[in-house]
Amino acid sequence: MGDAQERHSPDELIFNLYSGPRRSGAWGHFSEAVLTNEEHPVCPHCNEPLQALELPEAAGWDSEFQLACFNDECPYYVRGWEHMKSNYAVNASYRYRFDPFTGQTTPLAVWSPNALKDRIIEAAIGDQADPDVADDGDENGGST
Amino acid sequence: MANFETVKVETDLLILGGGMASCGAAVEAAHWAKKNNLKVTLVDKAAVDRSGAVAMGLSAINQYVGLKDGDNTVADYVNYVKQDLMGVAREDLVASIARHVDSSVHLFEKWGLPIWKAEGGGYVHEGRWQLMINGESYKVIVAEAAKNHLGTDNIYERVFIVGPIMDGGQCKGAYGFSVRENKFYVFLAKAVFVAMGGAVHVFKPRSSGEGLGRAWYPPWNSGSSAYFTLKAGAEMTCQEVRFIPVRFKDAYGPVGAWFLLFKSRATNAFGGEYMVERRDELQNWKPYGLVKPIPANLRNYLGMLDVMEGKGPIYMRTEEALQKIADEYKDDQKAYKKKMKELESEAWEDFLDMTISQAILWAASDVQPEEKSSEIAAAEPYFIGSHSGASGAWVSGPKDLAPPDYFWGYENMCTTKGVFAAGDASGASSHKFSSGSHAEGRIAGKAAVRYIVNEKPAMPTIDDATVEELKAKTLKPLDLFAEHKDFTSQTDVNPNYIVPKMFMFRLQKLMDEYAGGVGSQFTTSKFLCERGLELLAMLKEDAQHLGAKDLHELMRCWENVHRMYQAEAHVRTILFREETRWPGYYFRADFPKLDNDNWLCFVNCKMDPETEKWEMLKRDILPMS
Amino acid sequence: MPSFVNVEKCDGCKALDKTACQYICPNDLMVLDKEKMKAYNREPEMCWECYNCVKICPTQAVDVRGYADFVPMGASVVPLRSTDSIMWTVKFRSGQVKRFKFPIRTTPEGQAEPTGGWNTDPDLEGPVLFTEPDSLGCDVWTK
Repeated sequence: MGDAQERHSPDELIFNLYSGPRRSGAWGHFSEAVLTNEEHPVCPHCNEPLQALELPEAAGWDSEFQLACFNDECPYYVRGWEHMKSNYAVNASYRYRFDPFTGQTTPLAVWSPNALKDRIIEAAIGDQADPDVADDGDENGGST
Repeated sequence: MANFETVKVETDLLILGGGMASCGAAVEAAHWAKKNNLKVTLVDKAAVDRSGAVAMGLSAINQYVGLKDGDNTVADYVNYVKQDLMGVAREDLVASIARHVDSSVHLFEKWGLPIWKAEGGGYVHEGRWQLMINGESYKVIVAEAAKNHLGTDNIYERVFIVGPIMDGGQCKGAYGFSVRENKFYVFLAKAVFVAMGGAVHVFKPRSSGEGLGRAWYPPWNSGSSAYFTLKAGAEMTCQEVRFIPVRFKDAYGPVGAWFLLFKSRATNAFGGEYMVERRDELQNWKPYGLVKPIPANLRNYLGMLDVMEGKGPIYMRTEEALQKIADEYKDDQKAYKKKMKELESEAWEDFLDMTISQAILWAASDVQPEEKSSEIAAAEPYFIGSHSGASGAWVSGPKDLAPPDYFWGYENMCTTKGVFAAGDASGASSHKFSSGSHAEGRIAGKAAVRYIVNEKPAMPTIDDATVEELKAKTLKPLDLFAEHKDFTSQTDVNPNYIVPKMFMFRLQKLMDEYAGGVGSQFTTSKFLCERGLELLAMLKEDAQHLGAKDLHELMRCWENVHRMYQAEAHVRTILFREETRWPGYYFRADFPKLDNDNWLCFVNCKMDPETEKWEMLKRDILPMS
Repeated sequence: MPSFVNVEKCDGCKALDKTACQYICPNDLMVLDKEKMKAYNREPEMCWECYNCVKICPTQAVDVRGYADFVPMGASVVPLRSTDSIMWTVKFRSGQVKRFKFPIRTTPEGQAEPTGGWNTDPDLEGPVLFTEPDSLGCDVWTK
């Protein structure tokens, strides 16, 4: 990630969000993504850039992509394993997820460190706007 | 006639059914009834603790909107439902439920349901609307709150409701009988709330031996809500919209976790993925086929096309999904084995919380999901207005959300005054699932109390002659059996009566063959429907000759009569709608295309309770006012 | 048959008129044979294998054998339910055994408090349900 790019957590970005018409329904009227190409969202727990992912259809989100933190060292994700094991007797954790169309965030269940990683869409948002930082895409992972 | 005591109960609000919707109505109405000095009575044919569709437990809550955190909006949910139902849904009813469902979920959590939460308190999502739970005791917990609020003195268990007590067009209550002792029940009420489930076993199922019991939705759903509202003269809606779930074959275990969490693919026997290879077919179902998420019936349809072309079996590629996840450990045998074990555990858990039979089938087949795929298949048709079907009574929306044509005084009231419906009993408001049905029960329960307080209906009365007439009609199968059983050397083969099990098989066979069941590849036509109606007419006549040897069989007799009426409503409606709108649920061979010019509408129906003559009608699909 | 009763363990619920399994079965299948004083499943082909009879039996006398028309023989799934958790023992046809344990509730049995602690007093007119808006966490949405 180039130093020239300023980092904002999604919560900070709320006030900069495009506040035009929300997604008006399922008949193909997708509004603009809430974040513009200049902003680069990061995870509020570990400060690493979020990555765009395309969720399975059955998941229900009708937007083209969501953003999530796939940093395996993210403390939120790491603590999640113990949290789920001791409270619900299950071997799972959760990733920080951010919806770029609505600005909302809910934890997304994952069953393994690699779960959902093969749904990552190329690089994180923002890279295409600036060809000088194209390498960031590879640094952030991409598909398994 | 066998000597049955008649028990008469007078109450203000009568709640029929003891499932999620009724528990919602009970916990809600108890509050308002206390404030207004009213009596509320609940009647369940089983034990409220474990009755209804959530008897076994559930692995997820499938409707949570997340309004307080702005996760989604009510409009988002309305759009999702309308799109999934190919444009046919009551926006006002869906919105009414979506604005309250979170409240029920938060209450479940307080009552004791373990809902997965991340540190920091956010619910952990499986999908956009779905929350993960440890749901083995889901029903127990919800029933407990209802019982604690209503009081067990106000609850009648093991009493089967046969039908409404009608006087002209007025519903005065309900009549039924105990399944445990020789008692005939008459419930008189100022308002009646109906939530007695959907309908299973109307069609011939895939398994017909012992496996008959392994329906996807529980077999004790016998169409009792539909029968009640039909016999109350209420207008019904979406009677054509049956649901066909695609699940693990035979035991019908859930596939959601495999698709969502493990990201499995489903492929045919040649390794082809129908969702990819047959994508073009979705063009024929515009605009619904072109938007995400693709409607469930269209996803079904693409798979069915493969099956009809002989490309089955269809497999859930469990081995591929698990291999991918565990691949990173392949250099470390020990870690690999450990990871595979963990993943396998997750798969088993999903079954144990809600479809234990699938666990039994896998254990008995020595299934190692990381080594071998498992078959998935389309099940037989179900009537389930709370899930992806839409059938039920046509009810009023709430005053602030319903356009004038959809409002007639009280939310969730049927077109018959004083009769309210929720859950599987109310139609055109799909995708409520367990939490939404509970919320809808609360909405209707409150509205029913408001109706009693505002309208001040008199407590209905009933004369002895009417009671005797209803009692004789109810007990007739017992009398017929007793009268004729000794005519042959074996009571199950007798020309004077038909036993309920055979009556059910006869209904199932005709529905399978003429109304688009599994055996017909879900395809029907005008001529097939008309022949089906001929056979149904004779079956209805023969219903007068049902014979029951005991109270259990008497209940079965009436359950199958209820199924038969649901069947008739269905066949008349699939005949009337001259198009195919939900090809993955049923297909009209003579009208194989979507026809939005003529059929983007509701098809409703009404049955005259006396003459049993049917009226079919189209109603406009209106947005919220 | 789907659920079945082991005659060595069943004591007919100590000669009560009704057995626990009969009390709970959602499909009215379990019944006491008053001559043998043992419970049995009177309509196994209508059994959903919901396991409520298995879980409630005080002597663990009820078990389930998978549907004979499509389930191979030799497996069993046995629950052990306590007040806050359930343990499942899955025995494969091969003899392999797996065990799982999950929580089932977070409050003591019998103590689900109907208001959930949210004691609001909305109007009978209008859409606000009892415990709302507090139980919703926001105002009741309207157009």
